Amino acid sequence: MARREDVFISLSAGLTGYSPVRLIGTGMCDQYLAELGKVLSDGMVDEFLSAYARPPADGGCSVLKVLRDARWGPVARRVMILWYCGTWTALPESWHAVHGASSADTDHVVSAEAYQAGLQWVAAGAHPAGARQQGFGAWALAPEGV
Amino acid sequence: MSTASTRITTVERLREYLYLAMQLEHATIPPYLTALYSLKPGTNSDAYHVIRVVAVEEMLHLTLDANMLNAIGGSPDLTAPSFVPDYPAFLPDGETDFQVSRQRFSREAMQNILEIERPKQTPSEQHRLVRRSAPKAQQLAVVPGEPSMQYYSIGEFYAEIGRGFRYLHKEMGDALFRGDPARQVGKEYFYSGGGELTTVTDLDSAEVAIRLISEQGEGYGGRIYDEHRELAHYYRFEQLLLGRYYLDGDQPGQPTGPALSVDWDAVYPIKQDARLADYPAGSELRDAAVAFNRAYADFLGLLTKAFTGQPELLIEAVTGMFRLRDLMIQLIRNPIPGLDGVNAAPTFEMAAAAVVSS
Repeated sequence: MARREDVFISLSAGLTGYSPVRLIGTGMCDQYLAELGKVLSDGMVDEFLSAYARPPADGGCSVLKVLRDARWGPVARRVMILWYCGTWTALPESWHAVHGASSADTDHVVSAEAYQAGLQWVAAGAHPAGARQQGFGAWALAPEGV
Repeated sequence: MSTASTRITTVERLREYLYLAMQLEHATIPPYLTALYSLKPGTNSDAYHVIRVVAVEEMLHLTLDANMLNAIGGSPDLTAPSFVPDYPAFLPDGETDFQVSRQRFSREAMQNILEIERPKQTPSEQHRLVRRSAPKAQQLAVVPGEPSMQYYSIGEFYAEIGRGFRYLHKEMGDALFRGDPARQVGKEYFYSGGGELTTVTDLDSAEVAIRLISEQGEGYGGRIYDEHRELAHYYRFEQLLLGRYYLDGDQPGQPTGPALSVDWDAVYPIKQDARLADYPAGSELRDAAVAFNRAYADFLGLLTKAFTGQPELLIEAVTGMFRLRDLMIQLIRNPIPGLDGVNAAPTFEMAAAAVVSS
């Protein structure tokens, strides 16, 4: 069986549109998996990853299957935000009513590194304001790729 | 071989030495950056700051060498083939030479770096040059055009450059400094924690530049702190191995300042002297390594422009270094497929970058 980190990265690549090398390159994989475990429970994270790893019966896309799933779709959407913003967004009450409550499921920034590693900065060709050195006068240069 | 024939007696010869000096200063940067970015985030802040500041100062030395070369009408080209050495490269360490590699942060890597910065004065005039019986392709600090003759130390290499300036100035007077002053990179274009960038327009300023490079690297006259109370590079790195900071007044090898902590295990297990060929053809990792090499080639191109009449571009080049950092870190965090527990690293193969982008 594949390592859970590998499954998580594969799923995250599908959810974010960024390649595994890019995602591993953020250095956040272990921290995000641990964060998911805190919010959901490690057992539930394994179920979430298995839901993705099992090939769909109709031969369709595994990522879409997860996104359309009533239980895992809302979690997958929050994993997207996690990679882009480094923040966890609380699941709705209606989700908790069906799948169980968690006191750790609150809106929060995962860590200082997570804020800096957010894909939003890469997507914008920019840098996390005030958090990562980029050299004197850099603010006068156009964003990368512009 | 008599030492007389290796003396610098022409402007052309002095230019060759200064270009080799630039190559030498730059050659320390890939190993320093590789060790620096192999540190795991959130750990080893003492080591991170020591290595980072020294790497910035090597950039300062590179710029000072460019100023000296420009002052005498030379033209620095950091994009020339073989400007970036093929690692491992070989630097002098007295009677023997030693290997410099791009490798992860470790006790061995720090020992290696100490050898780069080690103060070493030749025991006598006859020992100033050492013949290497089997010259290696990437031998640095050699006599230009005489790859088998290597200087006893980097300090001796710079001492010859200083002698060359004095000799030629005596012969030619101020006509030696025939370069365009507009090519000088002044301190308004370079911010560094220690040491000031000085423009070179006459013999005095050339000697100031040489002294700054020598003192920052190896210390001066056996002292560990210089006149600006700045600790020489050798002793800064030694602090990491000894686990303690130096204080002004300390004896070499016996720091008495606060303890510092190093976590030798909080380091990514990167491949030493990694090459593109280590990454599977067609893999994303290979593409990322190629992208880094291209970005590094662009960076060297920008530095060349900054050193040949557009000094304001140095600000942009330094900003570019932060982009290089992001590309390097991305490689260093990724395992190499098929090699269990070995991570990738930037390869700094400039020839490959040129082929790919042409």
